[in-house]
Amino acid sequence: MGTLFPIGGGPDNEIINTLDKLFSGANFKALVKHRTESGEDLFDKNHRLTRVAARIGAYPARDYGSDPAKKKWFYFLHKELNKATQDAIKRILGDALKNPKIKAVSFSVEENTAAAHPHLFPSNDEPLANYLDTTRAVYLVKMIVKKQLDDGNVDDPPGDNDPDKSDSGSNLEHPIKWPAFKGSRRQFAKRRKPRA
Amino acid sequence: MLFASVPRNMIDDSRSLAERSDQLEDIFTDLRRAFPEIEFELDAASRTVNAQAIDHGDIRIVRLYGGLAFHRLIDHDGLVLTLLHEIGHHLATGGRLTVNSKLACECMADRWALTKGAARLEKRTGRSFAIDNAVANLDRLTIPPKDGAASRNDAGPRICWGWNWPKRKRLLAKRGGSLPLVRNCPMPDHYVLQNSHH
Repeated sequence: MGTLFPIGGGPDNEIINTLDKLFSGANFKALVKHRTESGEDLFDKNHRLTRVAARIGAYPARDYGSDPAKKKWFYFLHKELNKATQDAIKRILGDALKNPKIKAVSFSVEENTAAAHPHLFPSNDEPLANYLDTTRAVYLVKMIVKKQLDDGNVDDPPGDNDPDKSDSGSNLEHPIKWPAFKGSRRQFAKRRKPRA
Repeated sequence: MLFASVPRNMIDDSRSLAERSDQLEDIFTDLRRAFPEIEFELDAASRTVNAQAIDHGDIRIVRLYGGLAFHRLIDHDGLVLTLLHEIGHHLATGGRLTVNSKLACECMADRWALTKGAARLEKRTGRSFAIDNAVANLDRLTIPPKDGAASRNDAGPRICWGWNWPKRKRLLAKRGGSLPLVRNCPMPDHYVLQNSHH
């Protein structure tokens, strides 16, 4: 969504870009591969969005001074998103990782004071096809929020000592293998041999 | 939208509020006349200092949030430029936003606002604005970026330099209505590349 002040100046931009990067290109392929190879479904009923967000790095990580953006984000995921909205997000992301036609997920946020609580656009209960973009290969996760997050509402993500567990209590988590970092190397022209 | 990045400073006396409400009503009336293809909304209850171009399929919306609409430091020119910029996201051609290919990128929205948008508004309603005043006006609203946070602009094609609002504003003020196309803007190439994967 185009905004006057780039959502960009701050954590809004960071979280949206982080999510877009995680759910596109090589990172998205890594998540798909993780599902097929380990059998772990990151978005099933036993996985918590907060824990998955912490594991995959889906949170604002920069220092925003007095704005505790990371903790506010985890409060948002944990306490402000009701179960119906969390389930709707999981339904889309879960399908994105298992549906070979899906190439990416794109995230955006819209504020509307008329909204009773945060929900997906147009609603949480749409058929999955309604969240696709015109190419039918990208899911659009558009979050409608009532207002900006309050500075006082903060939460920590579940740590490694609190993994997602199955109904029987066994640890469901498998390490995710991310694509290797490839630094770009500057190409220099070959040096001429000095004339004798 | 989730996190506040511009400090709030809203009008709180009833007389100024009434004057601003009348001013906003006049501006919205003219914009609706000049751009009937766009739906304009004022979300007066919101305290967010921002405006947004929203694409809901066939419905194209420009929403002005209360925190900006009733900001103490903004005036007529700042409001008109803001709204034209948002309309520009819907109507400008050229570079697109990565998050939504239906919306023009920041540079193209600015360029459209200053050229076609301003011209169409003036022709159909007689309303005009001073670009230098509008830019200075909006400048006052923003906070200086903090080290390592707001000022940082990731390299790479996912973020156009146009996101760098302070730089864009300086260019706008300097060039007025003749804001040039950004020769090194990677967005059009990136957009083509991105869509070729689909």
